[in-house]
Amino acid sequence: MSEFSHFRSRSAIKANDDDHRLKIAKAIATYETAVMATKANQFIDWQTARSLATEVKNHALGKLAELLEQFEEKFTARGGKIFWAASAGEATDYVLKLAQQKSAKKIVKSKSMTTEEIHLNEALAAAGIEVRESDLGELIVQLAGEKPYHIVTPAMHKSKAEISQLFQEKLKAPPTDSAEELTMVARRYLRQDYVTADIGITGANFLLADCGAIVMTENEGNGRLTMSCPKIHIVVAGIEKVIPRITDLSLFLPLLATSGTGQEVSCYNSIVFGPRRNAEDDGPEEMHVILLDNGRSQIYGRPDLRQTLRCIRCGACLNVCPVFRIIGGHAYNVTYQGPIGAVITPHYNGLPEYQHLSYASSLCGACNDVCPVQIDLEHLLLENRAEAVRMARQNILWRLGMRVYAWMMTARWRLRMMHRLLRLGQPLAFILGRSRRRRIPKLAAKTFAEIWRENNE
Amino acid sequence: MSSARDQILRNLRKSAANISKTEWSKPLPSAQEDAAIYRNYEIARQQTLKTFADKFAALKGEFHHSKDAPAAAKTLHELLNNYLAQSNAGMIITDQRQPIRSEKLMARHRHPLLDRIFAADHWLSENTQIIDRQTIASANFANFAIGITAVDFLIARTGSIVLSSATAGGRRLSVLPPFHIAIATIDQLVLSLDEALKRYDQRGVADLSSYATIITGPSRTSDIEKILVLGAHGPKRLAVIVVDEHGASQI
Repeated sequence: MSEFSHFRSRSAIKANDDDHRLKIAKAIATYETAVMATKANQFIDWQTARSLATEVKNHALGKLAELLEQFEEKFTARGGKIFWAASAGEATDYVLKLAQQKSAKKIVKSKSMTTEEIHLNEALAAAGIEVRESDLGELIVQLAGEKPYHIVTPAMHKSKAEISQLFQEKLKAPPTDSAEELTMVARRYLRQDYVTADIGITGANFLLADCGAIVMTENEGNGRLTMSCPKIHIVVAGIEKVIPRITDLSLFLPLLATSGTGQEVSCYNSIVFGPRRNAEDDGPEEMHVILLDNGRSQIYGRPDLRQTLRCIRCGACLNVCPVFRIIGGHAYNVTYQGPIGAVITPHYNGLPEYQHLSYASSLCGACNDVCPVQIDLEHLLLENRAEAVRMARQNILWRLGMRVYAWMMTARWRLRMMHRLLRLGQPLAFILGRSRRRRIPKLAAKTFAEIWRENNE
Repeated sequence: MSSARDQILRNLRKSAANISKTEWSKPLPSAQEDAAIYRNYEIARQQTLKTFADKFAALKGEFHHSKDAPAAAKTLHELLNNYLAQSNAGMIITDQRQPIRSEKLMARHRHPLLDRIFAADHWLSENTQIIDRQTIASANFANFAIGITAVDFLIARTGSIVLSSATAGGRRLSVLPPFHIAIATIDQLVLSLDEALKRYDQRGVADLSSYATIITGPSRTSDIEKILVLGAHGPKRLAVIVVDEHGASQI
C-alpha cells in the first residue's frame, strides 16, 4: 500500500472513532489550559520571548559549521567522543559496533525522537540487544508494539484502562484504574535496568557551543538515571541542536517547557559536560555524541526551508492543529507528526511519497501562531504543494479540472454561467452526495455580486 | 578525521556562503537578563527567600529554613523521624518490595556543610552512610531510601535547585533514592536562572564537573491521561533545608 492510501484509510478510520477523539480532546484541553496560564503568568510578553528565541536560533544557524566545530573542540578536550553521521545508517552502525565491541547485552534509553528517526531500536533488536525504553509514555508504546503517537506525549492515545490491560499482559501487574499505581508499576519494573544496563542512550534538546555540553530536558528522572548509571553514555543529536551559549538556556528552557507541557520549566534540565572525571565517584566512563546530519545539511542549503531547523520539538503545532486533533498521530505514519512533520518529512523522506502530508492541513495558520521559534509552517505547507505541482505528479484529470476551473473563474460572464449551472445541478449533487459522510452544502439563493447590485440600484 | 565530518561541514559552509545581510547573518542578541523577559521579577528581588519558598511549595517540594547547622540537624532529625513513622505505617512507597531492615536508610557525601550538620547529631550520623566509590558502585546503593546532598544554587523565580556532580556527591545520589534532601546556604540563593547560569559560566563549571542539573520539584509525569503523578523515576519526595546563618532573611 502506498503511503498516501495508507494515510487516507488510517485518517478515515480515526476521524470516525469517537472514543479516540474524546481521549485526544481531553488531553489537549488539559495541555491548553496549562499553556495559556503559564504564558500569561511567566512571561511579560510571550511575543518578545519568541522573537528573541528566533534571533538566537537564526544566528546559531548562520554560524552552524563554526558552532559545531567549537562544540566538538570543547567536548573532546574533556575526553568525550564525537561521531559525525551523514546518514541514519552510519549512526546506527556506530551504536551497533560500539555495543558489540563492549559486549553489551542490555541498553536503557530515555526518550529521543532522533533515535526514532534513525530506527535505532529496530537495528539493535535485530542484533539481539535488549533495548528498554524508560520514559513512561515510551515504555507504554514499546510494550504495545507501537510507534510514539506524539513527539512529546507518546502515549496520548491510550486510556488508563488500556494501559492497565497492557501492564497486566506484559508485566504481570495487578489491574488498577489509578494513574499513580500504573506509574509505580513502571517505576519498579525499570528500577534494576538502570543499574544493570551496559549502555545508556539519550537524545539532546540543546548542544552548547561555548562549553561543549549537551542539555536534556525531562520530567521523570529516567533520563538522569540513564546518563548516571551505565558505564557508557551515548547521545544522538541532530546537528541543528546547537546554540551559542550556556546562558541562552535561561530563555530556551522556559520557552520549551511552556510550549511543550505548560510548565514554567521542566522538572529536570541536565547539562552534561563529558564522561566522569577522575575525582568523581560515579558517572559513565565513556561518553559519545553522535552528530546526525541525515538530510539536515540539504535542508540547510535551501533558504526557504532553513527555518525549519529552528524547531525545538515542543509539539505545540501538533496540539493546536485541527487535522492532528481529528486523525491523530499514528495516521501520519512518520517520526514527526503534525504540521512540522508535514513540512519536513517530504524533504527528508521523499516528496513523491510524502507530498500528501502537505494537504493534511486546513491552512488555518494556528501552527504559526503557537510556534515558539516562529517557523512559517503555513506557508511552507503551501510551498510543498507548489513544489509537488511543479514536479507534475498530479494526474491528468486533476490538471484538466484545474484548467477548466481557472478558465471559468477568470471572466465575469463565465463565473455567472457556472453559478447557474451549479444551481441547476444541485439536486443531482444532493442525490449523488447522499451516502457520503460530508454533506454538500446548499448554494445561496443569490451571489454576493447579485445582492450588491440589487442594493445599489 | 572522518570524511562524514568534512562533508557535513563543507555542505554547511557552502550553503552559508551567501547569507550576508539576511536574517541568518544578524549578530547574536546580547544575553537577555531574565528581568526583561519574565514577570514578577521585582517581587522576587524584594522577597527572594519567600519567593523561593512559595514556588518550591507550589511544586510539591518541602521547604525548611534553619538558623544554623545545629538547627538544620534538628530539622533533619524530625524529617527522618516522620519518614520512619510513615514508613512503618506503610504510607510511603519505597522501591523495594520488602521493607528495608538492618541497613542504613540515608546516604550522603562528604561536604563541609553536611559534615557540620551531621557533627551536631550523633543519631543522624549513626544512621547515615557516607558514600564513596565502592558504595555507589555496589548493588546495595539502590536500597537507600534517602539521599542527602549539598547544592550550588537555589533559584527564587522558578523554585529550582541547581547542583553539579562536583558539589552534590556525583550523579546518582540526588536521583536514585526515592527521597532527596538538598541542603543549601542562604548565599546560594539567586533570583533567576540566568544568574545561576552566569555564575556557573564565570566559575568554569564545565572544567569542574562533568554534570549539572536544574531540579524543579520532585520527579513527575503526566504521560497517562495527563494526570499528574509524582515520583515517576526520580525522587518522589524532595525537601530543601536552607541554612541561614546570617539570620538576615525573613520569610
